[in-house]
Amino acid sequence: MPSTMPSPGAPPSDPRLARCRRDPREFALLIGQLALALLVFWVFRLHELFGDGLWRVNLLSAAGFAVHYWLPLRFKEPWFIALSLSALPWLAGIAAGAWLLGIGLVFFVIGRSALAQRWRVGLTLLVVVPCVIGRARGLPGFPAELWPLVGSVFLFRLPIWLYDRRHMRAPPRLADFLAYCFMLPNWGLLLFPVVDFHTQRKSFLAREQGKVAQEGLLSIARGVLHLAIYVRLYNSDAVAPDPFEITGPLALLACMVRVYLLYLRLSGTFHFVIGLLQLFGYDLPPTHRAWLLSSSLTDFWRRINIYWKDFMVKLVWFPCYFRWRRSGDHRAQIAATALVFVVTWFLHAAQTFFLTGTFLLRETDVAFWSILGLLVMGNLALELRRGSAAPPVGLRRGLGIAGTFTLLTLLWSMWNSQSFDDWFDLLTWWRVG
Amino acid sequence: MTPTPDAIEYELRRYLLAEFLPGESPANLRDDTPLRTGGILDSVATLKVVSFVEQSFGIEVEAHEAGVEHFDRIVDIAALVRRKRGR
Repeated sequence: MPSTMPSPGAPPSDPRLARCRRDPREFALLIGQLALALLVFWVFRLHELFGDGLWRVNLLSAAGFAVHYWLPLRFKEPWFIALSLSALPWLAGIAAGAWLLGIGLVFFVIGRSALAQRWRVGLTLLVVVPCVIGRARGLPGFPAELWPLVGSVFLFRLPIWLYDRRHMRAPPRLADFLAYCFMLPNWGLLLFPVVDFHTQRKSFLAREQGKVAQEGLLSIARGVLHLAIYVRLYNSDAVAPDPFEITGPLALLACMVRVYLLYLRLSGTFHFVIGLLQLFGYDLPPTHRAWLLSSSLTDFWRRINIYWKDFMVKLVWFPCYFRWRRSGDHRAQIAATALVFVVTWFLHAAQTFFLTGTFLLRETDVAFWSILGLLVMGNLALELRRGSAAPPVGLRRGLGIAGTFTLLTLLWSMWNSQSFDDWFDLLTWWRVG
Repeated sequence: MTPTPDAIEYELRRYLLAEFLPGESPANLRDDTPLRTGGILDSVATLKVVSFVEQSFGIEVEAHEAGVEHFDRIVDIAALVRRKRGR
């Protein structure tokens, strides 16, 4: 795998050198847009959704971008790493920041070693075990705020890095590892998109820096819009369906739609984070594509949290499919899809464990992933049988969007209920009220 | 018959246009157009391209080679084909 960080003596033929063209007018336009986006962010008090950390990340990112834009290519990514690492103790605390970096370096040394992959994975798991114990019960000498950070940084990115490590032709570079695992916006947001290692490496200045930054500002604007709508809709982050507040079918419908739109918080956050990373030259793809316009369940799965879907495709779906395809192409795809949903459920529960300290084992959660998985598998089987039909247009597409929205609204209301009893109480509001 | 280097890109472009971009102007599908990250190919569609590549160019693609690294742009797929055929 090629490294993206140029050495100090980067060859003049590196195409990225030409992409670092600096233009004061372009810079002024970019900074102006960024200031406007952050002003809207502040006016809507969106930082209050996440605590002060994100606002400090915003200010650091803006200042960091102002320097990054003018730096020569060879200093650009080292600047991002230095900024991210120096902000870590400020935003996460000195002890937690130091431990996080230390644990990361241990993971890197294990991964970089010349050991067989199974030994690298085994040793990594040996380091993970005390982290799990630390999150569950606490470990003397370790700050409590360290464990959510460990989960946020390493739970998904480490498996991706180890997977890619297996296929690297040269030993991995520490700088690439640091740029991947220690990203500045992560210190303000623990719920972080699952950025792919190879995509991040390959995307660095894949286009002119001004164009990448402009794309980032669009993503930031999209994120601010989603979050602003979310805040207006809820005015708080503690919305749960309450059957005692439902007075009729329209109120029930409004409540269920509101619960589904809770997801705007996540889509907005991820758009915003990716936008911040794009300011530093990472030409990353969008995390969501108009998910409210999904016209089928497979379409939904492909539009919502695309980074998660790609993570599952890379680590579960492709490996299973390629292993099983000799037993039948379609059968292998559907079986691999089933496994993707089992792993998705488990990893979401594990993520909840690291972020909150409790392993999410709720009947409605298990039912949600089971039903969604079965429906996506059924949808996939239909698509495979039909062959490559053109995507629906016009009325068919409209009906598809309406049907998918209705189904997901119903499923989401179940997912967000604490138990089936609560959900049935909500749906039979006349009985409860 | 062994396809010439340019023929690999040509065959891929022809296949992608016919299968996934019907009606699209060939000029809009460049060798560096992002296919996976640009939303043209999803994971199921990628497997179709994998099958096409395996059958057309006589290579076998492995799981880790089906990702964005090798299947995001025509130029990447062609490079993979050349590398595997050169073994």
